[in-house]
Amino acid sequence: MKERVDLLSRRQLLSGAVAAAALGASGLASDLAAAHEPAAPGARKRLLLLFLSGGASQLETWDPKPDTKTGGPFRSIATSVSGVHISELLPHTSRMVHRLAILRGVNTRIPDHFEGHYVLQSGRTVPGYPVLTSVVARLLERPGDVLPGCVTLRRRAPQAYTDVGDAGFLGARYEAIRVIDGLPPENLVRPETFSEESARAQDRLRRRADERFALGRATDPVAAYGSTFEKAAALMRRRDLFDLEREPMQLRDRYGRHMFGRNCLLARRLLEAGVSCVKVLHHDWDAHTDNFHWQQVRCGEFDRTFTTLIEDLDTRGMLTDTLVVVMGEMGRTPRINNRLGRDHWGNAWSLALAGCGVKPGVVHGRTNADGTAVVDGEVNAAQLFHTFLRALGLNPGGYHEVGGQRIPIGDPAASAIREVLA
Amino acid sequence: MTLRLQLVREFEHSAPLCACALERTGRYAFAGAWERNLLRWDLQSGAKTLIPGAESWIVALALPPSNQYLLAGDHVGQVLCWSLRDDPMRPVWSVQAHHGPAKAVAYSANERLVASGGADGTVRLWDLQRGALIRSCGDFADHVEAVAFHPDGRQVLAAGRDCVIKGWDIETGRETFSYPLDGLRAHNPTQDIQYGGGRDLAIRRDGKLLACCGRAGYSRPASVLLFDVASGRQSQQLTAAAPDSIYCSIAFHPDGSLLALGSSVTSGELGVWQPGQERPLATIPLPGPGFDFDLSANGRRAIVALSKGPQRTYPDRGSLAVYEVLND
Repeated sequence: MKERVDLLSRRQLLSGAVAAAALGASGLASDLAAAHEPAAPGARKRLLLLFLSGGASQLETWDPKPDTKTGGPFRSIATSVSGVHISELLPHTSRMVHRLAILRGVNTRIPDHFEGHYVLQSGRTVPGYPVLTSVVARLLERPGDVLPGCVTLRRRAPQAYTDVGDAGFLGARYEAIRVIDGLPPENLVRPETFSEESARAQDRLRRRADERFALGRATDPVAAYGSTFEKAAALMRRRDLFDLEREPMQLRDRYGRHMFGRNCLLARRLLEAGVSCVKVLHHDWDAHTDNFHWQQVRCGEFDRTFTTLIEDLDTRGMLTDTLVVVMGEMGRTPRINNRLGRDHWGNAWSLALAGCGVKPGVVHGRTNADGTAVVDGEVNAAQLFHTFLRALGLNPGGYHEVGGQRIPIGDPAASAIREVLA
Repeated sequence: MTLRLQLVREFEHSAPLCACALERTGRYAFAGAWERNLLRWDLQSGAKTLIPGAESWIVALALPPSNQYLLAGDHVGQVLCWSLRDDPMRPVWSVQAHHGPAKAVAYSANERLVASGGADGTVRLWDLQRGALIRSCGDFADHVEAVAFHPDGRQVLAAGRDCVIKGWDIETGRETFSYPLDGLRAHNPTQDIQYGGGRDLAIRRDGKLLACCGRAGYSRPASVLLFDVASGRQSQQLTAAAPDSIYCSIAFHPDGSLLALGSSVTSGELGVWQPGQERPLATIPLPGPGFDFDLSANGRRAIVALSKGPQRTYPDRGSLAVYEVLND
């Protein structure tokens, strides 16, 4: 069956761009452009953020505690790294742990979806900072880039917290283009009944309206809007990227026909085509009830797709230049509730990295016997933010230049986690 | 006549209990817990024996009346059969029956067959003596939570998260009926997760009335649907008073009344219902939320697998509560 291809609607896109421009206060694409140093020449670095939205259980993934009061019913299994065990729910992943860096000492102290989504992506607890994908999109931007710097892939019906976090003061230019259900933005394709000449005339009219609107006003939000429109239109001109049927059937099967599998394959295609940051949301890890069922379902989707993705990136020679981050906004309580669920937990949980700049086969951090506290290698969101940038060869100690102000890119009080960097 | 339950003894354990079965002689009770051991209590002496053999938590238990075997399903999909004649008890056979938890086990009246239902949506029939697979029935999209053999000896029944009860001919595997469980739907649209469906099944001894339990909607009270077996029509919905609870285990008493184990996050109760009546005859509060209960064949004794702890939301121990069932 041919997969549907569709795009984020122009209306959605415009409302997102305007909102982001407003949020970005004086936005400031021109300031940013002035401050922006072109990325270093050489192979293009990329970021792929696999966001396990809702909060995956560290005990059913990266940090199992079998045969303890908190351990749950699943066993741990040996991995490709001697002495390292992960949950039996990740059998495929267990065979590629030598390619990963696992952090088992994450302590963000945030048991909340909204706050967790923001803090884990921005590396800050104070509101208003841009999220990782926006920052990286700006820092990796090169003159002449046509496609958008960052794209978020998610399903149509998100949880309320799914879209938390934006480009902040970086403005609409670095806002992620949202691709819903794997479909390209709607209403940017010229209908067959509408001639090409008419489309060009319409676009000239749009540009004139923009120019007129910009007269006597701060031009940056308008420029940001125009830039966003162009990037979405550029994505639209690459509708072929959304046609997953161009990929071999076997590869599509290996990625999985579920939403997460399709979106990971689409992510690889977008990265390959020149998008520098892609965030893929894997939904519904928030298992307050029947945790062991839902972790099994979600891990089943994640496990094979993730390993296929890593192998595919490697086969194409992309993995060395692509940082893959697997994280959510929090972990889940070691204690099991009366509904066989695990609740929100930010004090001791795990995430994993692979690819660009990552030291492979490393486990950093350790929790106590029942997983309730970090006893070694504790890390927080600010350190993670620094680490992600460092892995990509970027300087988290640099500054954003915004409206004449210099704002540190990463939290100046934090630094990168050297133990997981190559 | 009203059933009255009187707590006569409670056996403590260091982990919450999630399944239980009462031996026919009434001497032993078995339980599965949040650990790998099968537990056995001598109800007279109170002696507890830990019996290894399972790979994970035992979440389903069944004891055929001949008292030769104990059947169990564990959380990683194994179905195990222990010989009760061996001391110490040992598994006679075990099979990897399901992908994901083996959530339900049952035996046929002639004790030749075992039915298992799993989180993989399948229902499987096994030879009780050897553990050989005889047939796979059904292809649910979601968990199978309960299996039972029809008293006619020709059908196996199953219910689960798909919100339907289905029956299959044991000999041919052909589907014989399908009853919707619309009254037990509990879909959370935000997460697109079905928290409802059928959690347990029971058939009255005369074979005329079928019961299936769960909850009457998302964050709604526990509920039971009753079906007239002859017509296949739903005859009644019995709904508990306690909000945000679920009936997770049910059984018909020999006198025809229905016992239903209901639990919320912090409490548990046994509801006694008389089919045809709108309100429960009695509601017996339990020492904690329960996961399973079993009733002796003569209906005079009941056991309940409970979770307990200083913070009941996060239980850290359990108990097996033993009740005398009195008919006033």
